[in-house]
This record gives sequence, structure tokens and C-alpha cells, in this order.
Amino acid sequence: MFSYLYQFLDSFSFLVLAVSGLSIIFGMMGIINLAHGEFIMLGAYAMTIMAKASVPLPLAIILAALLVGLFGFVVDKLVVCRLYDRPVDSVVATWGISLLLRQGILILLGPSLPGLTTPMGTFMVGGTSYSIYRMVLALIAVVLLVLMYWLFMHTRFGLHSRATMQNSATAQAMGVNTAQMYSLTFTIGSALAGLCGALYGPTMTITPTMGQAFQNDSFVTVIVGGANPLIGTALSGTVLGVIQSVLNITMGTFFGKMGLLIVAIIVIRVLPKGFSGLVESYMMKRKNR
Amino acid sequence: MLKVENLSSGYGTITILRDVSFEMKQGEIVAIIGRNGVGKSTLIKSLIGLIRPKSGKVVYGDRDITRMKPYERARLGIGYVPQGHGVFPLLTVRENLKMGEMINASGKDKSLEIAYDYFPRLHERREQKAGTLSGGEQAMLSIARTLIGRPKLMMLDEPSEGIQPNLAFQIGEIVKKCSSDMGISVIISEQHIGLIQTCAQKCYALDKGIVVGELAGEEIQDYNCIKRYLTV
Repeated sequence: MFSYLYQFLDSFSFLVLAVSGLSIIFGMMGIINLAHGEFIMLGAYAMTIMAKASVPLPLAIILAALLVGLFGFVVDKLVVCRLYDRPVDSVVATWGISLLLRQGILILLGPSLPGLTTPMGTFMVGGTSYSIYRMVLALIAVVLLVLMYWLFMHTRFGLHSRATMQNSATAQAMGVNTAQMYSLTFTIGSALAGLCGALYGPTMTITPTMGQAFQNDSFVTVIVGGANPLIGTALSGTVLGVIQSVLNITMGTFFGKMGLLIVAIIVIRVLPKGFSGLVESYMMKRKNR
Repeated sequence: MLKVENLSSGYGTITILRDVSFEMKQGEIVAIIGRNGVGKSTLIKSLIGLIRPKSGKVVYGDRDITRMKPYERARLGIGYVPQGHGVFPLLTVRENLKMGEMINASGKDKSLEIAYDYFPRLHERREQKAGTLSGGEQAMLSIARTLIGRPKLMMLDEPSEGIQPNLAFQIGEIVKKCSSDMGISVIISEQHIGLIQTCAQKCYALDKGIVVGELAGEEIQDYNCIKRYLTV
């Protein structure tokens, strides 16, 4: 029984951490960042290189997230900010950025970087050993969701970003500098991608193409979750986490991956706006109470 | 307070407004009247900056604001009540009102109480999502949201659209009261004659993007006089 819980927490935290950066950018700006996986890869590289230069791991993780955030800020200023009202073109542009990053890292640092060992060791439940670090990741995923909830629901930035998301023209006329909001959102989204890469860096092989593993799962999670970065991420992380962990244990990881894709296809058909659309229409129906 | 000189504006390569000029004084209520599609909204959107003018000049106070971004104009104290009310549907009434604080340039009393004083209904519904309000309530929320910013100039784009006809008069009364209570200048684009007659002190009539008439005082109250600009 515990192995199910462990698998669920593992899938859940992977999905939530992988998707949060992508979903903030998509939800706020309507921009699909195809370089998301490469931003995650950069986070893993930055963390690994720093950790090998004997920077303490937690600090290396935080610094890596900040560095990728800074990188995202520059990418926004150079490329993405010209495409705010051209979402389709932004797909092509960010795809180009992803190719550049993947090949650039391959040329600069070679086909793989010797990874770190997973820190913190293991614990035993009923004769099976589990990784402590992965449980810490699950905790971080939950903390991240709580922080995002606080940021979006209880701060000025959150209010302005939700207003911008719903009606950017009116938000501008209310005095919100929407271009600045978008730039900040892209920076935060990039930093979250970097954080994800840095957190998972110690658990996997560091290669220039490692981002793809995150990219696929995070796109599925965004599709299932819909445009609302908060409701979407939490709900679809949970639902997909359950589905994936059950399939992983009963039928193997291949079917776990397949299951996610099949769920995505079904959800697009039944709920084109994902879970966010469902929850938002429910909130609108709860009228006059 | 506001001076528009030879303003031409439109979308893409299409020009809608041609050489529009007018001027208004502090505290005045000016109505822009005309049928659908004559350029009323284009004019208002050019004044708040959501559309970039092709030529001409907009001077607010003694500043040329023609090239300013909407949020910069808003922070100078220009309030905007969009067509179709433009409330943020998934924000609560209170959150919508909080959005209005941003334009408060003078740092004057920012409390939401002003809004609740004028519109007690909004207080009752403050925790409700704005999208669940009726058309009339949304119109009031939109006006209240702008008032909270204590604007010097308030621009309303067809506030009577999508609400019950008898409420249109009420909006006219409210606009008039706000203007005299707080000394706000008002530009209102409208085709509801009752609303125009209730509050407007001066009217500019638009047709095909050109100012074709100017009415003041008695002429506004003359039903037939105003009607010819509004019927097809």
C-alpha cells in the first residue's frame, strides 16, 4: 500500500514541479513555451556544475533557479516580448530557442555530464527501500503549490496578473503595465523551470536532451489542467499522478506514460478547457448565494 | 482640461476617425453621440490609448498624451469604463474594485467605501464573482471601479449597452452626481437619448468618423434635434 502512495507522490511532484513554470506562462500570456524542457535542462546543468564546484546542494538549487530565471528574462526581452500578441509565432520562436539550447549545450559540454548521486539515502517500509530525497521533492511540490496560491490570491501582483489574464486591455486602462507583468511572468515561469531541473538533477543523467522527458509530461499536464495555473496544476497533477502511479505499478512505466497521453486525448475531447474550464464554469453557476 | 486636435485613428490600415477636434472644460459632461459604427468607441479607445492615433494630437491638462501607453494615461487620472462594462468576470466584486485603486494618482482616500456609498448593492455582493452579476450590476461595478481611482476625467463607452432601459436613466443620474460631487469631467459615448438628456451638457455628434454636429443646453433637451443624429 505504501508503494502506491510513494509512487503517487513521486508522479505528483514530478508533474507539479515540471508543469508550474509552463502553466504560469501559458495561463497568463497564452504563450506556449516550447523551450520549457530546455529551461529545465539548463537548471539541471547549472545546479550540477555548481554542486561539483562544491557549492552546497540547496544553495546550488536555488542559484540555478535564479540563473534560469535571469536567462528567461533575457530571452523575453530579446525575443518573446515581440510576440506577446502572436501566440502561434511564439511557438516557432521558442522551438528555435529550444533547438539552439540543446545543440549549444551539446557542443559546449558534450553529450552528457557525470551526474551527482541522489542525496539523503533511503528509508525502509515493509522490506522495500524508498528514496528520502523523492519524498522531500513531494514536500517541495506541495509547498510550491501553496506559495503559488498565496502569490496569485493574496498579493497585488496576483490580483493584477489575474486581471491581466482575464482582460488585458481593461487591465491596462486600470493602470496595469501589462508588458511589465508579462516580462515578470516569463521570468518567474523560467525560474520555476530552472528549479525543477535543479531539483531533479541529482536523480538523473544530465544530458542536453533530458528536458524532453519533462516537456512531454508537462504539456500533458497543462492540457489536462487548462489555462488556470493554480487550479489546473493542482488538479491535473493529482489526477494524472493517481493514474500514472497505478499504471506504473500494475503494468509498468511504459503504460504509465501511455496512460497520460490517452487521458490527455480524452480530456481534450470532453473538456476542451481542461479542469480550469470545468471549475470556472462551476464558480459562475454558483450564483446569487 | 482635454483638447483633441485633428485626431485620425483606426484599426490597421482602416481609418475610422477623420480629423476629429473638440475641447472640454474641467467638470464638464460631454456626450459623444451617433449610431452604431460611426466611431464613438474608436474615439474613446484612442483617448485612453488602446488604439494608437494615426495623426493628430490629444492634450490632457497641459501634457501631450498622444503617444502615451494606456496605463500611463490611467495613472494621470483618466478613468475608463469600457464598452460591455469590462468587469473581470472571475474576480470578486471586491477584487474588481481593488483594481480601480491603481489609477489613483493623487493618493486621495482609496477606500472602497466611496463605491459602496454610491452603489450599496455592490457591498451586498462584494464576495461574489463579477461574472455572476446582472448587466445593470456589472455596469455599476464598472463605474464604481473607475470612481475608486478618483479620476479627474472619466470616460464611459456606451454604459447603457446590455442593461434594462430604466436603469440607463439611473446611470445618467449617477454620472451627473459623481461629476458634481467630485468635480470629475466626463466623456460619455451613448445612443440612449434619455441617458444623454439626463446628464450631458454638451454633445458632439459623429457620423462616419467625422464630427457632424455640436449641441448644447436647450438643443440637447430637444428630442427631435438630438434624434436625427441617432436614427438611421
